[in-house]
Amino acid sequence: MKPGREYSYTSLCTSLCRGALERPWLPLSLWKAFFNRSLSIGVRATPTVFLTAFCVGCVLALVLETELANLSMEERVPRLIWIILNQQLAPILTAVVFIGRSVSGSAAELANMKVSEEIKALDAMGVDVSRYLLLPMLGAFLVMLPAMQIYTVGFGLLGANGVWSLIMGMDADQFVLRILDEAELRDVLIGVGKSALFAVVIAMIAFHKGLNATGGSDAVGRVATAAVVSALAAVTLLNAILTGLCL
Amino acid sequence: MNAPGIYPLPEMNLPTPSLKLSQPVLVVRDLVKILPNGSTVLNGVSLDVFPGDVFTIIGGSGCGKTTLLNILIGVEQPTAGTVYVLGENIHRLSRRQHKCLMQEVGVLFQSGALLQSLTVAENVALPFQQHHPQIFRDRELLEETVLMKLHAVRMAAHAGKYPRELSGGMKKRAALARALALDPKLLISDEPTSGLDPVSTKEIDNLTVTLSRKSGATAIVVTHDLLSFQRIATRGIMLGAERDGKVRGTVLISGSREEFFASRHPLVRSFLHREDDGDLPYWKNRIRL
Repeated sequence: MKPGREYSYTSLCTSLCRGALERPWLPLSLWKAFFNRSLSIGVRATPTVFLTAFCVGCVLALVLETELANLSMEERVPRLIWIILNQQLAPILTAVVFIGRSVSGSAAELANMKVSEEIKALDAMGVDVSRYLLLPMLGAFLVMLPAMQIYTVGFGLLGANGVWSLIMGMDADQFVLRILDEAELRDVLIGVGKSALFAVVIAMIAFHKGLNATGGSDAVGRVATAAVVSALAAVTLLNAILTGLCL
Repeated sequence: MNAPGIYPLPEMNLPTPSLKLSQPVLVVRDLVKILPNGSTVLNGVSLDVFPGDVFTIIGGSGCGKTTLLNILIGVEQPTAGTVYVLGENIHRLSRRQHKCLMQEVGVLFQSGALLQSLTVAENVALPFQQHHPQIFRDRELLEETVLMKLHAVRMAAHAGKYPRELSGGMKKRAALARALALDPKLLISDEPTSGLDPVSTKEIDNLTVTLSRKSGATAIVVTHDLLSFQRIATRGIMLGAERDGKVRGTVLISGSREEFFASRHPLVRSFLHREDDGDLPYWKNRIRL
């Protein structure tokens, strides 16, 4: 990104790719920044993600069990929960938690840096903003969102299994066996792939909104709101398109 | 002898007057900046800064000083005109060339612009790590160099503090250490003394002059502080402000400090000698009411 130019999505993508490929060996300071970002963006979001996933798993098991029992198809419940969690709910759920927590935070942080002239100072020092600041953030989103998505599936299944065995009085082992019997790697890959794509999209929205902030401190709140709204719309739309393509 | 109206100068090691025959470090020609809303901020600004100068850009609020500074460092594009920094047209450089050039230019921003997530020492270490990662891979060497830089601005004792824990003057001193970290050839300061008490103002002025001279840098200081101008300027320009009407963003006067105070230009005289002939009758009427 050339200093002083507006940060468009194209220029952000180009500069990030160039920043990553120009010198693929990252110095220690960038690795440190990446781990710090991963901690704040992903690891600290675990309680929210796990709680949400567990509750959604419970609710899903209850609803499916009740409805499918009427059709005498309750043995299909584990398989359906596996598919719904992997392909639809876990990627969306994780992305929504990340949007509410990390996208708003990252956009606000960048906006604050922009209005307090920190971005300008980095430009003036000849520091590549995309490599120094954005690359560790993008890396953290790209690693943590798919990782958390896998955990979301796990906690969702745990919740569903709990309901299946404790409330419905079914055999817990049967639940696991039915899932393992029909589980496909494709389901996992679709979920992880979706999460990775969502990670890139929501990170780019956060960067774009944050770096183009103008005005005073009021811009920070405005930018955070705009980033959350745009990211939610983008993820929902993208999920619909990807689901259509995958089916 | 001082020109009429000049306050007695404090004892300071002022830089030697510039040699006009040497190559200028900064050349600005016919600079124009028109904002998207159509207002002209800079109107045909031209200036030359020579090695060893403490070149001051003064003017009232809204005269385009900060815009000019942003254009000088290449973070803002001019509508027309050229800027040559150390012989390079800064707006024609590629990203990589700009990065190389900025190693030779230190910038001190009005707010200090220290990175809030880093300590003072980490802020000062940033230019070293970014531009000379191989040399400063040695942690001890980096720490010693950073401490040396902080010691020069009397901030070594606060190396481990975060910017939020510092006072305004300390932030400016830390930012000055960062700006001078790579021993630049050109130091550009945007209102370095704004919001500071007179003692801190004097200290920053003193540091700006002594450190830039020690490192062989030419200083460009954007200010509207008259005392600072008197203290440090060897040469400078004055820009017309918004309240000055048609002359907004134009160079009212360019020359040495003595030439400024000898100027007969009414707007220059009004600014330098604080002749309040415009606003006073209005306020007098208001008080009577």
